[in-house]
Amino acid sequence: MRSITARLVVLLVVVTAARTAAAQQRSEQDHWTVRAAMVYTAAGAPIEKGSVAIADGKIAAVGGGGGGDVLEVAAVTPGLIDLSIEIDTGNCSVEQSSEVAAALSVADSLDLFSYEWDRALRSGVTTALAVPADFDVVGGLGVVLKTGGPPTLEARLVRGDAVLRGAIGTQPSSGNSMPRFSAPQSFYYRRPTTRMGVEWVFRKFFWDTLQGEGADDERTADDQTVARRVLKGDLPLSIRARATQDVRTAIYLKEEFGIPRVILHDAVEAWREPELLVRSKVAVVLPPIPPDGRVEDGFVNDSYFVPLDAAKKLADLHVPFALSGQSNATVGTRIADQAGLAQRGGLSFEAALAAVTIEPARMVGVQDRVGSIEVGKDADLVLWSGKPFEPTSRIVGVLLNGRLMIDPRAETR
Amino acid sequence: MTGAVGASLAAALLAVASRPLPGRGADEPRTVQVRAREIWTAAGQRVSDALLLVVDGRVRSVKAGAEADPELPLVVHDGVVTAGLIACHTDSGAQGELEDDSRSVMPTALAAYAFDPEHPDFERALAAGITALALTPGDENLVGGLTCVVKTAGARVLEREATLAISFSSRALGRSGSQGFFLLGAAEGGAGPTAAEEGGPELTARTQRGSREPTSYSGALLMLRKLFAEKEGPFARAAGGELPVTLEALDRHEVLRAARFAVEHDLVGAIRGAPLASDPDVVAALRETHLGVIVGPWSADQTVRSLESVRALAEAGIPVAFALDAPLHHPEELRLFAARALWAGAGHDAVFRALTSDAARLVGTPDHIGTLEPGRDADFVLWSGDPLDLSSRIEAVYVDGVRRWTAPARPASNERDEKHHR
Amino acid sequence: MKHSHPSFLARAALSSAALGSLAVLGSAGSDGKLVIEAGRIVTQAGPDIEDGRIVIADGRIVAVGKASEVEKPWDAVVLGGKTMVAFPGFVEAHTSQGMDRSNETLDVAPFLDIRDSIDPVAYYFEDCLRYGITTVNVQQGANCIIGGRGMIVRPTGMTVEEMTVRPTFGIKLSAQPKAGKSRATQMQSLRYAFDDLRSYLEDLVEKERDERGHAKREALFQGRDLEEEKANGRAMGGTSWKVEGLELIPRGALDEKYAPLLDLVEGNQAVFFHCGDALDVAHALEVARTNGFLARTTLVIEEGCWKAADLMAEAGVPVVLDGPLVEVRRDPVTGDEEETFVPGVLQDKGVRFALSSENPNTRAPAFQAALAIGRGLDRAVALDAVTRVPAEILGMGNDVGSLEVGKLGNVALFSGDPLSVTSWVEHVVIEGRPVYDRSKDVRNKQLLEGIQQPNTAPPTQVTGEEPEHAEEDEHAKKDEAEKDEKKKEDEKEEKKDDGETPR
Repeated sequence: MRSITARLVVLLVVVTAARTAAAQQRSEQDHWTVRAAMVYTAAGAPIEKGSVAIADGKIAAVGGGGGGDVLEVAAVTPGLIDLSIEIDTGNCSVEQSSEVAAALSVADSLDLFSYEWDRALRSGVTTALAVPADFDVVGGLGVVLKTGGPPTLEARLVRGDAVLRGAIGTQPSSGNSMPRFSAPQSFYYRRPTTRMGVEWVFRKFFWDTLQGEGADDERTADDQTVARRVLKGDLPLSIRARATQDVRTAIYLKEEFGIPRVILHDAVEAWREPELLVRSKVAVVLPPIPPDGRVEDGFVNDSYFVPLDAAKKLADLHVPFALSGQSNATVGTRIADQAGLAQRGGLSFEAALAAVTIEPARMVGVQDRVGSIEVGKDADLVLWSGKPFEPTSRIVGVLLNGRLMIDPRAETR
Repeated sequence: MTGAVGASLAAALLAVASRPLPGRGADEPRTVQVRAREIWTAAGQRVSDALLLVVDGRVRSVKAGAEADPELPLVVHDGVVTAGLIACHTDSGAQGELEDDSRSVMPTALAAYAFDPEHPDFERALAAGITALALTPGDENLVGGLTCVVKTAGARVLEREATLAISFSSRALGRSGSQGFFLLGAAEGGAGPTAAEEGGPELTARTQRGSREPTSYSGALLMLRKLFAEKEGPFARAAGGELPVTLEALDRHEVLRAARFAVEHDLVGAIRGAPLASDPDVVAALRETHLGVIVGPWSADQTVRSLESVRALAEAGIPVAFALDAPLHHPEELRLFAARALWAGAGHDAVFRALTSDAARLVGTPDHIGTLEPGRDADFVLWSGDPLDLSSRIEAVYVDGVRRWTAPARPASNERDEKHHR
Repeated sequence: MKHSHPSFLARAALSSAALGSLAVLGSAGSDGKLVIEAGRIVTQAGPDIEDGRIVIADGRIVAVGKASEVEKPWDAVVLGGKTMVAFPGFVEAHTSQGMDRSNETLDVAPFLDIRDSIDPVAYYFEDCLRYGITTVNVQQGANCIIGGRGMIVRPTGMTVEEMTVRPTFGIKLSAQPKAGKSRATQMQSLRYAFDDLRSYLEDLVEKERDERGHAKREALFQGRDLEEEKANGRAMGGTSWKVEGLELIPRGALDEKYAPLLDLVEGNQAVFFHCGDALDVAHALEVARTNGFLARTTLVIEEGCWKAADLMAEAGVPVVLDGPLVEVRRDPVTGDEEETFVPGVLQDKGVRFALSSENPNTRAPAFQAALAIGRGLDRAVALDAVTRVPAEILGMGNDVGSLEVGKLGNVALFSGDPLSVTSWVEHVVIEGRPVYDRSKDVRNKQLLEGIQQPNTAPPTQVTGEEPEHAEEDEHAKKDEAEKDEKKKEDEKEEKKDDGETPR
């Protein structure tokens, strides 16, 4: 009995030691030279037979020599940026006791241990926008963070208070009901229960802010401080707007209150309103589409449709747009595959690259740190086995803050 | 008179099935001497051939090879004597009385009012060597109330306002409006995922009870920050460390959130739950705090990562204790948790501390119980051998110097069976 | 390879065929000569041909090579272009699409034939053309113990007869439990079906020995066809168990519930055995071995079956991957996500496999092959998995799967490299007949152009600055001109604009 216990203990110690070692491997080398047949910087023409030097977690040089170990690959792009990553703690991430919780931040409810961050990293996403889940009309503040590194917000945060999140459509109202035959049993017996109710909440939120109404309540005052930042243009308003009518509603809201910066997320049918998009100057984040091109939506009764050339249409209209993968697990539908599918719909390679790197960075104001391969920016790189976004290419390596998160030298499939 | 007392005590020793009832306290003698093969006064401190002197329910001294006072009753025990075990987080004698769904914040709810001292839960605990229990109110409320520490015999509340119970777990959050959005982390076919409490993958959302504010982690933090800004009351006492806290947190990100909050407000006490406390990031975060960890209770499916928590925390110098959650778990399981911690690599001293002195600290009564040092309450157990060895039997249990439980004598028929089967 | 006995319906279609047991599409128009010219021809039978030409006549390839070396008949229709790439028409090794309800509720129903449920206008067959699939093996669904017989079709034609390439081909079995059953009862039912067959045959022989002519009398009484070869008996063939005296029974007298299973045991019918999980593989192989049809068995596997790759390799059976290319699963204890690239495992273990349009993520074989190459599969293995291997599985290795002289003229013409995400299938040719032209594909157009709604912008607007232009092309110029005009109009209408005008 004793010997078995002893053996078991030894085994456990060995196993634990291995695990601890793996965890420690996380932090070390941040000096590298990456050499690639093609370097796609997203900041100008691609560089043939180029190199990127990394030092202290930042890009030290593009083109010239560098120190540290050498990584040799077929192609390099900046780390991908996904503004619709949709990794959250579900209904624990948004305060539903009221439909407007503008002053609360998703930073307080992030689970950085979730396997979904690892999955995002494997898909090449190094920076993401995290927002509260869309169960509220105005759910709260979102943050921009890196998808890898120590599981603390301090280590990963790129920008706190990056956006104010809202949702238009049926989702925010779906948990509410009307008291029918008895007294209301919970605070979910409230408005809004319809799309128009959702819009009413939005308008009331901004209208009361402008009138200064309700500011004697501390919570409301805090919410209105956030609203004022949105109205001033300090804080972009990030709205989930899927159907055509949702897109219109969002744009009318923007125009009515003169909100300078609005990003439409998961905007499946934004392509149907080219005039509105152009004149309102909203930015659009497109949802992922399946490889065969057809989209069927299961959430609402009506089925949404996004054509394969939606991205190209937006590019032609000069509407700023980004592509997203929404942390899809399925190979063939991830954000890198979306960039390929957008090209299938006629988008140019350069525009597709920009739509997953510098464009989303600009939308949330982090373009100084990420989104392209330029000296001084964070060393977030994706290493490819061939031309990026082609299905015959694979992500073989990922660097984040100069640290090798996925090693191209490891023999894995 | 002394002789008569001595004779009656000797008779009690030889008695076969005496079962003292809890609740009878005042008229029992509280002065006794115990000679034992070994007396463990604290973790790692063993005195051989020792004599324990208890006067008026308190430990007076423990001396090796000392002479017994013939005036005082003497108990001779061929085995080990240690301080009584302490179990954290139980509902003993109070099942159903500690839960309240009506509000999420109830800082003045006292668990001390909730238990029935005559309840058989206490005797069961006693028979398992447990001399003190911490009762925790409202573990599905954001602020459940004040825990208390009770002795398992004599109905004595050792500390009425022991720690402030706060929950950082999603179980304390109000129900979502859209119940349809119940997101499961793993939904593949085959064996279902190991539950988060058992150290399995963490689920991103759980069903919660009641629809009440807060429904989110961020809402919970907002509420707590406001409460801790109050100038008076239990929160004010907790901020700065006067009143210890017990912070429930299950998922790793919840533990990190609780740790951060504790650092912000300079809290002392313990985190309760933390099935994955062996994670190096969790240990690193806890090291920055003045908190210990109450682990368990552990189910049969508890993963190895969970069981290793005790070792990992002990190596980092973080005090550990065990939650029992009686009567859902039988008090005898406490020693099983300890044994499993040992199997998973924790040191003997660390585990013994987790059952005694560290447990006393984390339940908020560091000075009266947990060791057999002079001045402490005379709560001790007579074991047939090492208490962490599951084959050791409990011969007797003393609380406040009074023998409260004696092992029933083994029936003689056992010997007959053994001869038969040889 | 033994010929399967064609059903009487298909015999009509067969009558016009000159060769073998295939029903070749009757060529329309003139004498059916077609020439395909492409910037690159991927033959799958040697190196690619630059600037190549394929000549198809009477449904078969008569020449393939460099355009400079291959003569172009003056009376041929010409398809193709300098930027295009010609690829052999893809072969679908196994699917249950394209028919009305793919499973019967009966557990053992080998007498069913899917010719009765194939829907020629099903969307699936349209999609096949879109993705360049020119040969399709349609089988029953997997929710069975023993299903009915399938057939090989071409995805074009308005009737089943027009679509038929080889009728009564393949029979479906499932090791994965039918809905409501456990694995134990599924295996029991499988064993019992063959035990039942054996008892039936033995009873029949015994009865025949006792009362000579009994079987024949019974058959005639029930109106069964006892013409030609059906009137004769034949000793039991096959490599496993045998029933002595079967030559006494006319083959036509066998009950249709049992005759197809006898074909199986005698090795005269292809078998498609569905496996949902790794343990099903062992079960399927056991049933196949015990009943003598291992040599004709193809496993149809879901992604989790990669764990049994060793068993597959050892048994030498080919497999069709019915699920996604990558199995994603979470460790039930640690919660970490693990991915396994299934074709990679199969390649490493030496298992021959085909990819299928049943992949839930994408139907397109070219896209699947490209993804597989991206994940590290050998290029040759990936391309074979959508051409040669399925062709061999269907027993049509001499007719499809590559562009060689003598094979059927089934070609998919891509707008560029077939493995690039930006390439489209522009034309499809089946047996020398053009059957798909993307420029005329209305549904494909909708995928790209969508259905625009009329402009619904309200009258009030916020005037803004001119958007910047990166480069000018005709499109942008046109848009610009339109926008300018509209702007001038609107500016005339609206004098004042402040962002807070209520609606």
